Amino acid sequence: MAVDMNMNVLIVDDYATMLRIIKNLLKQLNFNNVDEASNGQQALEMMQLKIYGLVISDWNMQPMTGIELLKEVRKSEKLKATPFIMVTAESKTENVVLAKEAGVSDYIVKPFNADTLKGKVASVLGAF
Amino acid sequence: MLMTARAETQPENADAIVAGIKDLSGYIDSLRREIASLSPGEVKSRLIDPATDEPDATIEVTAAATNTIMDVAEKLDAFGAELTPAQRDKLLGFVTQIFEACTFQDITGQRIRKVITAMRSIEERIASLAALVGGGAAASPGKGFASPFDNEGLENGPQMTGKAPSHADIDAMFSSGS
Repeated sequence: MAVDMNMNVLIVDDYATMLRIIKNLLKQLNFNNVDEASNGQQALEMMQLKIYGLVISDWNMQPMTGIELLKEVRKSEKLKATPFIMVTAESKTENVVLAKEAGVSDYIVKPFNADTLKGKVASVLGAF
Repeated sequence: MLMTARAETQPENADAIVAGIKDLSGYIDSLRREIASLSPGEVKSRLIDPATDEPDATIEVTAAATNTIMDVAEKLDAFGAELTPAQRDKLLGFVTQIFEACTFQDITGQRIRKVITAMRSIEERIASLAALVGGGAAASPGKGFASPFDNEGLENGPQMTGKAPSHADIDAMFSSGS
């Protein structure tokens, strides 16, 4: 099934520069409906109001971290099927294992390039 | 037999033990003085604070530069609409590389913040240690130490924003002839 390039994508990062970079890279991949949240709490609130076809989240944020957001999403009957990619500098094996156990769809380690982002998005949503 | 041998060696051992304890006591005393003279207040104001301000400023400046670079990249991206498809694709490839390269800012920022946290932790430990042996933030200055952040000598650059004269200030100095 073809990927709906008009889907809403939510990117979550407490670092404005990183939000801007990911948004631009997604734009290069033809995803134009991209919303931004600066922490897990804000992202969760936004997800209650709008349907997102993909969430791309950082790990270290306050008041709610990326892993806490992921757990909340997977706990919610309404949100649990949302594809969720973690983008983080936390690259220790235990971090990846923890995210995998919490139900992350895929994992990107910073720094990354556009090809990596495209490959991971494709692995989660299907080729586009 | 055994009792006799013990009795004979006891006074000698006791003297050695007393001497050892005195040595140890002197050593602990000098250690206490050394630790107390660390002057945590001075370490904080002359080393830790400026040493953490500098990386903070680095993060700010590189973030501003990264945003400027991305401003230009976004303008280039928009300019692509005026080009032929082949030219636009080529330009898009370059613009993407610029955005990829900009991720350095996030990574370096995180690494620098780790160093700042470690330095703050060192500061707290020095203060705790000094407080434990009777020193503290208000302790009298110690033997003194050289700080690379002291405004002595000429090698103080780069200056923190707001602490150095601006070009306007410098121009004013030149035009006033002072």
